[in-house]
Amino acid sequence: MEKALRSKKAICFFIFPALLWFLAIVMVPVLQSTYYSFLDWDGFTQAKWVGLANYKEMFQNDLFWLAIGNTLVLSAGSVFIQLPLAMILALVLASGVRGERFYRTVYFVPVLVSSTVISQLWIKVYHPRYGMLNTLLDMLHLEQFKHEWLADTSTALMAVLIPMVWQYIGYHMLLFYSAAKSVSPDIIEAAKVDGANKVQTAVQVVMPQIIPMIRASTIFAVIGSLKSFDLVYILTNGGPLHVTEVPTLQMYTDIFSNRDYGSASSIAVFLIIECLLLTLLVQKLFSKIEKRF
Amino acid sequence: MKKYMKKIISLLLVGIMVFSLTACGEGGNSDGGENQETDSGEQITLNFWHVWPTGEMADSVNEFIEQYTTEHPNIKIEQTSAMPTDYKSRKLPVAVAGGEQGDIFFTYGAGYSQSFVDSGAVLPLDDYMEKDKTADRLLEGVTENFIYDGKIYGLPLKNWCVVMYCNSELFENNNIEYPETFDDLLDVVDQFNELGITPMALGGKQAVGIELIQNALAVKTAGAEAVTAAQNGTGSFDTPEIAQSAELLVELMEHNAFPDGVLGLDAQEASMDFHTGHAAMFVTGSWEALQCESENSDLNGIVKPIPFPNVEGGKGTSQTSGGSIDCFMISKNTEHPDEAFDFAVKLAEYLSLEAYKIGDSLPAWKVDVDPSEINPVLAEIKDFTDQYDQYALAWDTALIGEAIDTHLTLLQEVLGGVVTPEEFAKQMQEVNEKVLASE
Repeated sequence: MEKALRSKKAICFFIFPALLWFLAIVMVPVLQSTYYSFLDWDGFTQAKWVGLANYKEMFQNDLFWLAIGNTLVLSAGSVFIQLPLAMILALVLASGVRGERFYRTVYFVPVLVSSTVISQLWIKVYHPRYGMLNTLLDMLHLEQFKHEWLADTSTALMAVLIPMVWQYIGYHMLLFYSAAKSVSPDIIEAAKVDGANKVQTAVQVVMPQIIPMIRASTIFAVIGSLKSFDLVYILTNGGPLHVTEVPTLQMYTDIFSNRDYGSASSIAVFLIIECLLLTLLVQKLFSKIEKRF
Repeated sequence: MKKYMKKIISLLLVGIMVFSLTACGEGGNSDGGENQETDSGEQITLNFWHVWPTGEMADSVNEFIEQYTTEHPNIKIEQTSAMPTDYKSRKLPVAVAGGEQGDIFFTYGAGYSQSFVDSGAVLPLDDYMEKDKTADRLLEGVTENFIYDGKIYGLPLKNWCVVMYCNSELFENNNIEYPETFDDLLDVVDQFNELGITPMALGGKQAVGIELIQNALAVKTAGAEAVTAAQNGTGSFDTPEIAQSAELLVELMEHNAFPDGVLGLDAQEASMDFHTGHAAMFVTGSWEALQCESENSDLNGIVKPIPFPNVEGGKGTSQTSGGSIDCFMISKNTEHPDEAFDFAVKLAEYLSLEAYKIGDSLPAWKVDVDPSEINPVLAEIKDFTDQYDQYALAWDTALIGEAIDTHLTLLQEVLGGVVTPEEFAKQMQEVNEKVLASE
């Protein structure tokens, strides 16, 4: 068995089918998209080679930079709001409270619910006339804070961020929870013996141990936000007046409304490169953090 | 022994995985293969693509197909359908790109199908229509939007026009008169605002709702001919009349005609606002007549449709937004063009009548029908359409490429006060010139 694991030939042999699959399903479409991004093509008629023209147009488009900026805001929101909340919940649950399994399931439910349902739910919550949010503000005599949440250019992006964060807290919580649970109980015992209370154990003992998981979660959160589409599409469709525009939505409009596959493909290629770069950035950041601990 | 079992099980698992993959592929093929059985050489299968998966129209389609296949036992009709928005933006364009569209397929004329015709996917119908003397049975002018390069490619299905639906109870109980001109409309809007009733329902999230109002205003100010000329490039959008149509839209907004947060409300909520009696007026197409008499509406029997108000001094007093844009086209690579045409032309005429009866649309064919069978709201609409002599299409069906999205964006921007009406007109002309030049 060990001989088999060590033999390089055997390793290649076992990895090969998965590699083939990966190439066919992931790499080939990426290469195709890259090819299309150099064309001026509407999907039906003859394609015309235009080189970097699509990229030039994309970089000169103010709306594109606004969209990228929006995804960066959403990423920041995911990392700095969603992950800490998920971490707190995970540490609390992992330290052994009553109803641990129940709460675990409950917090995970939003992850399972379809994005369409979540969007429709929040549309009703945000409705200016009969939505839960404005009605609640009325009841608490805080009428001056009422807004047309999804229609007001100043509140729309935040209004989209909240369901997005809410949806995946459970997912990250579960990741952190399983990582926290797998911390060797010896270390926790040792900490207890040293006189650490629950909070100190959680923050200073468990958290450093699960840094690899935090890194993975950060990468998921960042990439997920960069690619976000479904919630934005249904909640605001990029509006009002394009304040919540995201690159994936622009891709969608390019293909299905403008019938411009070349332009859409160039956005896709840019997103791929952006995701790769940000992943590398996060990895670098975390390797520094890990060295400290 | 255990090692042996492990090997067997792992081989079995691999085998099942491979088998399920190939089986999936075969399933698709065998469905296609069964179509062309030629037992006595006569069995023909026609693929029919449309946008009525459910509802009353679907029932009419099924009834017709049953009738047709009984009369033509050698023909089998296979239906593929999807909801209109999905069909229009995704299903059909993707299919046509791959040559997979049905032998007979529903589509929209004018700009929408331009690229289909250009790529050679559609069959020209002039010869078939001559043989069939179809023109005798069609109303006047309904095929304009299906003519590309001088040839007819589509069989018209229905006609639509823009309508202002009014909640007659809200008007009559408050002694408010139905508006006939734009100035009347502003008065009415103010009166409803004083009563605390939302004057006009509108969903601004998908700009199409705003578009219906602005496009109708444009026809009233500039006239249908000028609008159509601007759309196809022989005229221009950058005119004072078109700018005026955007200005009037802004005036409505300034008079608080629309609900709060209009840019965040979608079309469905707008419709709900009207049908639950929260808004007094709703500007949309003649298709809403069906909804007005359905169980989804609280307003059965009290909806009064009126013509879109005229603009003083405007050039389009006897014209409005509308036209015949829905049609059936036939795929160029169909193996049975004669049968496909026969089915399509008969179905188009039949559906035109049925859709009229249930209130879905105005007919495009000459139909003879007992007035009592027609949806009462639609009957009223048909009456006042007699005063129109020309129509201009909704801009998002007449324009092509990025001009459509720019138009919808500009509509939201002009309503939100980000863009002035003059800029609206200028930018529309710029983007349209750009798109038409690159054709």
